[in-house]
Order: sequence, then C-alpha cells, then structure tokens
Amino acid sequence: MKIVGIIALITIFMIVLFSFDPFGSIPEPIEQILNRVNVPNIVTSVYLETRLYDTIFEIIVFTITALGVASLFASLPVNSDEGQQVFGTVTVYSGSLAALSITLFLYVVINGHISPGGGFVGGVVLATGVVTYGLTSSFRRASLHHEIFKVEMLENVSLMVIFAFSCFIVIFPEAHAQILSKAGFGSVFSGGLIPMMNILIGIKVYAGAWKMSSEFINRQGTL
Amino acid sequence: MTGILVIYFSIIGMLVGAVGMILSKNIIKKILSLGIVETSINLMYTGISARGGIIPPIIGGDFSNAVYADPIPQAVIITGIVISFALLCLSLVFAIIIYNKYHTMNVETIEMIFEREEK
Repeated sequence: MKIVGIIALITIFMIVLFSFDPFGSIPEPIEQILNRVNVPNIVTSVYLETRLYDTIFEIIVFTITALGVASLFASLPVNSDEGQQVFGTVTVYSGSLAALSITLFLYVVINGHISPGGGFVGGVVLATGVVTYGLTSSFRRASLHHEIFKVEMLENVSLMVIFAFSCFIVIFPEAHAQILSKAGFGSVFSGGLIPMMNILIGIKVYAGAWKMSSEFINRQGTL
Repeated sequence: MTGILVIYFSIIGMLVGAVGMILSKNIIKKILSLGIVETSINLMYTGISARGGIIPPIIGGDFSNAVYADPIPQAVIITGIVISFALLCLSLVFAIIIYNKYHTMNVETIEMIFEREEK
C-alpha cells in the first residue's frame, strides 16, 4: 500500500515538474501599487492595503490556534517549575537579549513600512526574546509580566482595534489614500494607519506566541 | 535564473517531505516531514517572486520596475507561513495528547491498540 502511495506521489510530482513553465510571463504590478499606496515597502502595502482581507483572516486563524492550544492543553496537568536549573553566564546574557529583543521589536514594528519588517516579524522577535529569558533564567519571572502588563486584555483590545482599522481601510479606501499621500514619501509618519496596524499586529502575534509557548513549557515541563 | 533553480529545488524538497510523511511511523517525524513540505512551498513562492529580479521590493530613490522581485507572491506567502505555523502547533498538541493516552508515538502500535479496544 505504501509503495502504491509513493508511486502515485512521484507521478504527481513528475506531472507538476514537466507541466511547469518557469519562463512564463511576469506581471509588473509594482508601479501601480506604489502609485496607489505611496509606501516604500511594497510587500507591506500589499498585505495591509490591497490584500487586507487575507491579513484579517490570517489574524483570525492565529487567534483560533492560540485558543485551540490553550483549550486542548487544559486537560493536561501543570508541571511545577520549582527545580529550574540555570547557568550564571546564560542568565546575564538572556536578560540583555530580552532587552535587545524589545528594542528590535519597536524598530521593526514602527519602521515596518519603510524597511524590511512588519507586525508578524516584530511579534515573533519579542516572543523569542521573552521565551529565551524564561527558559534560561527564570520562567516564573518571565510569566509575571503577563499579569503586570495585562497582556490578555491588551491582546483582545488590539484585535478589536485591528478589526476597526481594517473596516475603515476596506470601506473608505479613498480616505485612507488621502491620509497616505499627505506625508512625504519614506518618512515614518507617511504610512497612515499602516504603522499602527503593524504595532497592533505585533502585540497580537507576541501575545499569541507567548501564550502557546508558555503552555507547551508548562504542560510538558521542558524546564 | 536563480529563481528557477530555487523553484526546482523546492519541488524536490516537497517530494522528499511527502515521501517522509508516508514512510515514517513516528508521529513527530511525520510532523517534521510536514514542516519540510511547508518550508519547500515557502521557498517555491520566494523563487517565483525572484524570477524578474532579486532586489527586495523596497523602493529607495530611483525607480526601475525590472530589477525588483515580485511583491505579490511574497505577500501571499505570509498567510501561508502563519497557517503552517498554526498547523504545526496544533498537530504537536495532538501528538502530546496521543502520547499521554497511549504512551507511544508509533502509528502501527496505536492502530493495534485501537483494534484491540474495538474487540
């Protein structure tokens, strides 16, 4: 049965390989998008302006995944992290790495529309820094910030505001185009609602990624 | 030229991942193979966008359409990356739940346990 499956797989891939035309026509949409959105990073302007529906549903998928991981893990017992073993040098470096990741998060998120970056990248950068700190220094201290900064409330509020901004951009595209064309091309404030959307998506992705990783660490006892 | 080479390599990567998914008996190895397939698909889209040029589509001073990479596949694959991440996360959670219930990661052993439970 396995051999039949592999033969079918290879046949399908051969068909794909030989029917694929690598020298097909290449569309040239960059100039149109640039004229419309007036933001230097074309990828950001595509996924936060011209294909915004995609991004909305992407955020919904991410939220549902975080929810699914949390609810599926709810039946498993929580491992205690009292015996977490750390090394002194790693503790020092992981603290500075967390601080660096916060700075990088702010840079990547605010400059997402004029340089490589954006909300998803920023959120993952921040979550990586904090999870590394939690794994190498003190997981309990790392998870304390969840209550101090009220991350869960922040996550839900940012989700609502993302929906509100998306609705504004989708329903009134002309008004948003006017906001975009006012500031000079390439400056930080030239993005209209796009930098704000990036910040909110960054917070959302960070909260979701931290929730999922902390669930994995808590329930499986990786410490 | 680079883009076309990358596309062919990504198709080979997809084949390797799919064969791995069929052949391996361990659930974690199956999930890792799925990860290889997803990464190959991301690579394929990057290759498709690099057919016209390989400079990142961030417009600086002077604008010339021919040298920049196509931004549309890059923006589309962001969705793919997030969904593949979600899929990997949820399948790992299911793997953990299966391990806690049956204490094995081998699919054939799990099937045997199922058949025994049905009888």
